Amino acid sequence: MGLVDLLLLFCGRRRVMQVEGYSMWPTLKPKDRVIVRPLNQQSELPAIGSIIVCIHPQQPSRRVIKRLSCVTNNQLTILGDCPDASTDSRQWGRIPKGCLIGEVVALASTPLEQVS
Amino acid sequence: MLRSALSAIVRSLPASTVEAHCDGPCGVYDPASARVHAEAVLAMTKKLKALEAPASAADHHAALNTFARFVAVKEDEAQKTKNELLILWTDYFKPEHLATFPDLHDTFWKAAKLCSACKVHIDQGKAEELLAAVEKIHGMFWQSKGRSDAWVTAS
Repeated sequence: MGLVDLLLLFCGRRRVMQVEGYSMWPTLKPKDRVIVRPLNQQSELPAIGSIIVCIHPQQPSRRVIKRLSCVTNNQLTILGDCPDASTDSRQWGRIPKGCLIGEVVALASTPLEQVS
Repeated sequence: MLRSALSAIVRSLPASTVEAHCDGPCGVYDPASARVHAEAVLAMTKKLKALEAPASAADHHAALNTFARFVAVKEDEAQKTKNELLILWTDYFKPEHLATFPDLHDTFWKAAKLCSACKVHIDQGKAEELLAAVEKIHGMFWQSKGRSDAWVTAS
């Protein structure tokens, strides 16, 4: 991450989120912090392969982080990087574009020894 | 240096949680659990079939008690086998596995039915069929992981 990300964060143009779970291992591990660029319905969709944050399609109070695998008719196929530890579009199917919250633009890794 | 300083600042800020796990989060599966319970079903079925009628009226209650205990354990172990199979079927195996194992659903469905049959009856043949079904699932499971772990029974 860079200074620009930090400035945008303090301007309210970015959000900090903390990762829980292993479905994005080895890219992301528990306690990693990610900087997220919020997206709205008018925003251009992130590129295929981007890491995105979405509303859980079946439990709207939960937020999930996955990789954008495919976009078809404004519906997103999202997958975890670690399939054995991930529930994603393989179970949910494609999710509506409206579930998209933001795109991960930077990572603040947690030292491995802090991962429990 | 700058990067780690920025990371330290970000780590000190409040952050909302974003989940990167599965709905059953551990991701640890092994058909060995089903195998142990299925073996127990077969062992209890054999013990039940080997029971002899009490020699005297005095032994009657003791024999009934033994019979009831054996049946209870058989019932319990068959249900545990079914639970373990259902976890593998519904949580571990994914739609893409059907390409490799087109009979996956049929195999699990029949195995689950055999668990029920082993509860309803004292049938050594059904218990042996159940263990064979678990062995087949063992093979499918390890093949799906690109391994060929040997089938080893405890009894």
